[in-house]
Amino acid sequence: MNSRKKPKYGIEPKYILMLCVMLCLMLILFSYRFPRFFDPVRKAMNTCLVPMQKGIHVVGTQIDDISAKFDDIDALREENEQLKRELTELRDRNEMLSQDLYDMELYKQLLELDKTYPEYAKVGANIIARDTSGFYATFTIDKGSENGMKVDMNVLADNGLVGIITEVGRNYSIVRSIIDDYSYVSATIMKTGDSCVVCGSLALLSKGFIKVRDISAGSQAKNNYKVYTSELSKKYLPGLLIGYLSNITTEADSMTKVAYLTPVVDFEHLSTVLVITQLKESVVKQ
Amino acid sequence: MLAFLVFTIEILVSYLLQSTVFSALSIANTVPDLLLIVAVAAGYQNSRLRGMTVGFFCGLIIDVGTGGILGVYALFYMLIGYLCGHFSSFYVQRDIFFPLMLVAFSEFAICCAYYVFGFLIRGDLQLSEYLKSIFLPKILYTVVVATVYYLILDLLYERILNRKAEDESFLSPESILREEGENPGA
Repeated sequence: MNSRKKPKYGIEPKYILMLCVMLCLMLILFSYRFPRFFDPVRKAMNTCLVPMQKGIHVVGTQIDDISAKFDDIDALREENEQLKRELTELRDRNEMLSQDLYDMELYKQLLELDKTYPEYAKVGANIIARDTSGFYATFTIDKGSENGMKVDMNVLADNGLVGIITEVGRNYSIVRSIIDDYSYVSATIMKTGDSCVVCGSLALLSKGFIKVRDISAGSQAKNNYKVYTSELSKKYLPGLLIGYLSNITTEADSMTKVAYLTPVVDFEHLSTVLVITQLKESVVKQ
Repeated sequence: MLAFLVFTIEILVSYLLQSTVFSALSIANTVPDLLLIVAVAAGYQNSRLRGMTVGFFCGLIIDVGTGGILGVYALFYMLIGYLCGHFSSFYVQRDIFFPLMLVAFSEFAICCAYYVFGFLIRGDLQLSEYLKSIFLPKILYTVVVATVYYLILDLLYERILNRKAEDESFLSPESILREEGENPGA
């Protein structure tokens, strides 16, 4: 057999393997102990790779655009009709609502209330690459430190929370989404005000859910209640919509309740995201 | 030098395809592991040493792209490349069945590694769930893509690497055989 042959330098590959395994183990330990040490290497490599990924992304979207142009015209016409109908209905409602809004402004002034829903400055970004292991839900966006991105900035799409930036390079950032198994978000349930923890779950992901834990046992929360990021969170800004509750059950120890959560964001078809350029720390300081 | 260039390009192209094009074409949330195919092919077609080296860099590029601890997947892919190098004496041109088996087993091993070091150590015991929802689709998808991708790599090997093997300082089965013939008993 070939595998027993001696190589040129007289060292068995076996020993080279051992050496390399040791090297890898040292690399692992070292990067675990000093996470920032290899940042220059990591960033240099990613900075080279990202423009190529960006290029492929651009070409891909253009091809997508061209093929989309040939989409069924009939379907578009039908949709147009439907949208027109909806538009007239919505105009009607808008009239009514603007009347309400006027009233509300009045009440607000009376009560001296601030804005109820916080408004943050946002920057748009494209997703150019994703994690490929199938075990994690991280992705790379095409904005980095030169666009003012920082670690721990919150990422949104479709008016819902997508995730948080975990690494920033010159021209790219890596985002860990809330459906990742390693992700934890402190949240509150609308209407009842119960605090809870939203955590990603790989096992539930294929069913389209993530998990909500640590809801107090006495909570009155029901299905379809909205879940928002809470004031308690260290990294997530308060008042961002995460998703809707379902399937609430009491844990075996009957101390807390757990539930499923349907995220508002469609993670499978995500292509552009909004990054909030404000950090939680700075909001707290203000 | 030529081998170095070819493998660098193979790894780069595979990584780019995997993270962009195939991510868009993902089936059941899984993406085929092209880098694994490269590592397996490098070992199977050449030698343990080459499989090991190529595997290491395949894993490293994944480590860098994911942004976690550096070196974990470099280690796993390196071991895969090395083990596949053990089968280099079985290498037959255009044979697809054996390398596909190697790819399938390697993919299973890598998935297990992901599970054990990413999830089991945190006390997550839902292995059967993951077997169904991730392991199986990922292995199948990778093997299906490998039928084409491996043939491309095989063609590259045959046209470029194998022909040049004689004036290569890098280790290849041919150079090893030649060495043996020249100094018997060395």
